[in-house]
Amino acid sequence: MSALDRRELLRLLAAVVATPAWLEACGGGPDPAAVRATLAPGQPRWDRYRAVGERVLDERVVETRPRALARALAETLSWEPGTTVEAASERLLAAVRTEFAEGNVVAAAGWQLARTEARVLALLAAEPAARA
Amino acid sequence: MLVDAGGIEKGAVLEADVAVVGGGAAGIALARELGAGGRSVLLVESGGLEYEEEAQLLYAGEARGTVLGERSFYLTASRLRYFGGSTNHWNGWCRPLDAEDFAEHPWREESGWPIALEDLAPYYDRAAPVLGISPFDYDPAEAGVYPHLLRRDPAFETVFFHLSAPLRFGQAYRAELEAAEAVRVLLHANVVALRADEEAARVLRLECARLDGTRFDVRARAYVLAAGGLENARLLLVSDDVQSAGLGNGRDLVGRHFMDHPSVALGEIALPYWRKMMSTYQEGLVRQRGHAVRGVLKIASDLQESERLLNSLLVLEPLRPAELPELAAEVAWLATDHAQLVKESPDPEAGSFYFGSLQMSSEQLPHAESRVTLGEERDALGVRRLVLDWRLADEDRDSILRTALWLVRRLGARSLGRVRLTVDEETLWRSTRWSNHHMGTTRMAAGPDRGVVDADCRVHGVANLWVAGSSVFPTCGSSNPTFTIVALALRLAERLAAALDGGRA
Repeated sequence: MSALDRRELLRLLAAVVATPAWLEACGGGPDPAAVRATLAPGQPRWDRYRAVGERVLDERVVETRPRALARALAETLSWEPGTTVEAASERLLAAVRTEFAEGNVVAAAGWQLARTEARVLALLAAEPAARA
Repeated sequence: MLVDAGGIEKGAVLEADVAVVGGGAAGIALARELGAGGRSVLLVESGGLEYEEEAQLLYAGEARGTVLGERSFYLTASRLRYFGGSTNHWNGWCRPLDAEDFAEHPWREESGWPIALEDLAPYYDRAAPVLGISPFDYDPAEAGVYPHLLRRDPAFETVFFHLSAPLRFGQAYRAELEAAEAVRVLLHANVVALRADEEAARVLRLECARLDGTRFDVRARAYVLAAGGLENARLLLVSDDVQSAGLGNGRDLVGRHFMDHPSVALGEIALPYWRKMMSTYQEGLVRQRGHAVRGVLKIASDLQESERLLNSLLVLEPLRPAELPELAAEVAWLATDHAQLVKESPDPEAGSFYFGSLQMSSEQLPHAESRVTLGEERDALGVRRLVLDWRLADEDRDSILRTALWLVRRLGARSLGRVRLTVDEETLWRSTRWSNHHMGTTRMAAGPDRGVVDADCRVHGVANLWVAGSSVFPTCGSSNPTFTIVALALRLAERLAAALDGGRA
């Protein structure tokens, strides 16, 4: 993985979780279809993230309904019409770090995850549009 | 010289300046020092030069407790009763106690030693060669392993154990003690009781026995119990002909406050793989001046104080691919911010991950009800056997879990990795084992109301009786005890020599 891959992945995650449900919840944002087009279907990395998200959903450690997840994320990331993918990914990184620092963590299969990180992964696994 | 008690006649009386009971790390270190200073020493050892089942079974008794359940084998499996003592099976990990281990903490009962780390520091320096390790001035930069995990973090630091070969004291010092004019090592000689004067203010003799029942006495100006953290208390408790609760036990403190280091399998850790950094935490990969050292993560003293946490060390062991936990690879990708690592190191080996098990060795609080007492059963020599009840409390459990969460928090906040915890409040003690470190049963305190021995390791109220070994630890910190046992023995040798010179023994 190159030095900036994680940021790139987070950027893509931030964009792709801006699925129709999210966009509807917050009234706009980047076009998820366009962002998803930058990902190769079935990319192993993507599947890895979704596998964790499915476990998060199974264990119900965060909200499980896509709309509730999207709302919570939109609030945490201050997502509003016009928010760029880059800005969202920076906020996501910052939120994850802050939550860890504050001890705001949840567990999936025992793995300790920041709450926002878990929500992103859960939404990724839950939102049918993201599986396209 | 080495003498086998088999040649001693019934009723014989052996004499020396100092009688030391127990030929383990403390006893041998002490005997060498005193002998080198010209004191005549009788080192009274129950076993022979090799393991013998009959002698070992003198250790048998009952053991139970929070983690032990009903596992009486702890008493015979966690120590060895022959020349060299438990150094015959120790793993060689050496590290001093930390400054905070000696300090009083207002939020903790029974904290604080009557001495400070500075008082012991010169003896740690002298203990290092006795244990076959390099001086404790390890510089990570010298070994090329710096920087390390969580560098400059306020919550955790990397500290280093020095790894002894491990040195087997019986083998290493046998020839020296055989040749020593002032030291007689008396093998196969079991102390069955200490006999004191009518006021229980002075020990008059050691009542000794061979396994065939032959009895004889050892008389000395000064006596030192160096028989281990369980047996030191047992010997005081069974010496009850003058003080009914046991010699030196006027305050009912002998045998209480027993501690071991709970060793907890916390779970696993996923980190970016970085060869130099992770080799710091692997046994045998880092050396200094030919001696092996090994890094572990230690919770910072400031955080201990502010969060009311006990001292603890975190040990990382690499996992083989077949042992990887579920989702490990997935979480590893998620966890790591290589960009941050690039900033912190010129040499990240990006693209792969380190997966390891995460083990915690924690301090435990000294609980008065965690104790050894005497059972009704007697051993082959007619001495009452021990009953150990090793207890841990909610405070110990909470500290372990909160410390683990602090590691989760700090790694996550710095995008350095993720942790999988396989324990919680319900399951923690089931994932916990013991470390075979027997501490606290004759604790050190300035006054007799809080401890059995004083700052010089002399039993309160008994002018010519001292105790060596980890039974004197009033708190246990998180470091393995042998290094401190030897340092304290070297310090005791000086104090004892001064007492003999000054007529205070």
